[in-house]
Amino acid sequence: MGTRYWREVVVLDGVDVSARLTDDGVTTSAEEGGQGIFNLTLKALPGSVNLDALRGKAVTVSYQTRTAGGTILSTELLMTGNVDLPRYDPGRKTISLRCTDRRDDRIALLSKAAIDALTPGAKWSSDVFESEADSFQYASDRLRTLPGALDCEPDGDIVYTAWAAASPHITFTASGIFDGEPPVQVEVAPASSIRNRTVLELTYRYEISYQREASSGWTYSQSTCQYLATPTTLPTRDMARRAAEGLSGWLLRSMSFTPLWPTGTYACSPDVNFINNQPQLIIGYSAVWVKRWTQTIDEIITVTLSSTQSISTYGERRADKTGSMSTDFDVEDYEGPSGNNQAAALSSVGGDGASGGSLGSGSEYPPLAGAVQNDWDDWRKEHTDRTAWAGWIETHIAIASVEHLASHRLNRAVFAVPLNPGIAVQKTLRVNSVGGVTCTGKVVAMTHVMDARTGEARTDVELALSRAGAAGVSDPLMAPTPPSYAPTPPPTVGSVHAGGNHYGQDGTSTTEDDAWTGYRGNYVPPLAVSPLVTFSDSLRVDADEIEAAVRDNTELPDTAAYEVAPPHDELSIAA
Amino acid sequence: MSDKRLQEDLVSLTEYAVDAQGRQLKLPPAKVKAALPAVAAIAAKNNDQQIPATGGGIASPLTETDIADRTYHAAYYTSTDGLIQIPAIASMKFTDANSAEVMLEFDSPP
Repeated sequence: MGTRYWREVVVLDGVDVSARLTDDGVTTSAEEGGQGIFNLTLKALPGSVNLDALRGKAVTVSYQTRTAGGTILSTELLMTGNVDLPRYDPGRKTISLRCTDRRDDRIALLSKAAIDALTPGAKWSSDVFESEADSFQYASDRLRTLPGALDCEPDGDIVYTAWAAASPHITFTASGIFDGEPPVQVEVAPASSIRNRTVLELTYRYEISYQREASSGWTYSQSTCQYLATPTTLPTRDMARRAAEGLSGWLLRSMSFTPLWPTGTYACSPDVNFINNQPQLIIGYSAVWVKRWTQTIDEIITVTLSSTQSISTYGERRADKTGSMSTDFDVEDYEGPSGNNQAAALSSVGGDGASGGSLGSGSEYPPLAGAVQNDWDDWRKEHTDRTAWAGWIETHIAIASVEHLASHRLNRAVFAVPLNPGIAVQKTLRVNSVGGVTCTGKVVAMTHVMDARTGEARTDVELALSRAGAAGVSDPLMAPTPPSYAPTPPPTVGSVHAGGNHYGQDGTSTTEDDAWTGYRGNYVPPLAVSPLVTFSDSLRVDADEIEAAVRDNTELPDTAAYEVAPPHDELSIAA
Repeated sequence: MSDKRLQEDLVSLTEYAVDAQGRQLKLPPAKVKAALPAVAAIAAKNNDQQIPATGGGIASPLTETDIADRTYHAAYYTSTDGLIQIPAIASMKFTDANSAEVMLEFDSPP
């Protein structure tokens, strides 16, 4: 063994056990987004070997430099962790310890608030990720939306480091890098691993509730004197109410009646004395109906993420994805279980409804809170959660963006340098013209090797080099403005129709048509006895259909585009 | 590059086929709701309701309310021989079949 100017210092459970290290040496390895691992072997002390008690014990590995005379120049921490797996070799009487920096365990023990603090700017949506996820999964989910990693520093602290190369922490020239064939090996990833376009078809399903309010009624066609000269049958309050309430799918909000003229003397030349002893007869009624329904909207936003410089350099490498979310709304509760044919339970005002007064206060079946009237005069409300929607869409966009960035930094520069405790996965390194290679990138993997047998102490380094053809500018990944659905109303919006007068026994041969809206009665006595065509004595109310444009399931397409510009790290290779 | 790293990166590129949580990525077609067609309601007059053809007029027969309700003119009908004078009724009160009051009023004798 030659003269060493360095020494590994291992502290196990608070005790410096460096003197017990075998010649196997110590190796510490760290990898971006993974657990740091280190292995060391101790000579067993005489007596019992308590392997079990070693598990979980704290361990630190430091690198100490010293002069030829043994004076300590520096001691620098390389890794902090715990014993994961101790093994005893009875032949050699050694104990080998496999240790980790417990990166995963440390994250798992963090609160979600602590994870949020470690990963600011991450997107997280319960419509993309699992709400019940544990802390480790939660952190992993957040990291899918961030171009960076959570790793342990040499002292064990968890820190977030962006993937993007920073200003170089250390620059190496030929004299600082071990010779090799070549000294700096550059490997670019296959073009097929690049993703520079992502098309996301994101469907958001929600309901629009509508409330249409229609007023109509029936008015007798004859004047008082006409009625007294040529009387006809007349409808009753009961008939009017039954007709108004019988309109399937429409809710009766209120109703009022015009009773038959009162007893009195009417100046009809000559005067006519008229006695009204039939208070149930009416010469008019008016009513307000309410129709409630819903419409399902599929808002389909096609989001395109493009890495333009990469596309023009490497050709389009595209992935298509879909995602969906929906906001629930209780359609049945709103529309009613069978097309809202709810019998109106209206209170009578000023009478019992059969012989006087009106029905309903007019405030029954109000529009939903927050509903606004559209061009159709319908009360309309979108049952959306745009906060959740924006979080969902931004999460999807962020994931795709991170995938673009990840796929552009699969290129590697690999080299070895004399052990440098300053190298860690948090650091950006630059190689300045070594073997023709100049490059800058963040460390993705590294191993400190302290070989006591050869006396060699070196650091193997792997840099990630992001290459995108050229530098570009990324767009902010904000949710787009959602499309709105506002169909043009027809010239006449569907409503309720109750008016109309049709009388038989009028001396004509006109026959009754069941489709007639309004009242159908007869002149009594007949205006002429031949021909004598008698009509039914009935009231009909008609409601138009609800237009398909506001009822049918509707797809609402829209598009949004974002530029994702992966970093274009320094890389040149001279032949 | 390490195998683990490559594997993770490859997974991240392909895993969109299914959501990380196995969540449904494509919604099933929305339930088609029934159309809301035109509707009508018809209410006929109940046959058991004895609704007269009109709400007014005098319904026969007329029944005099009370003979004491009659009123008389001050002048009398006098016989040609001048011996007999007959009271001239000024008004009579009746009720019709609908119990409505009907008043007959007569002119005074000359």
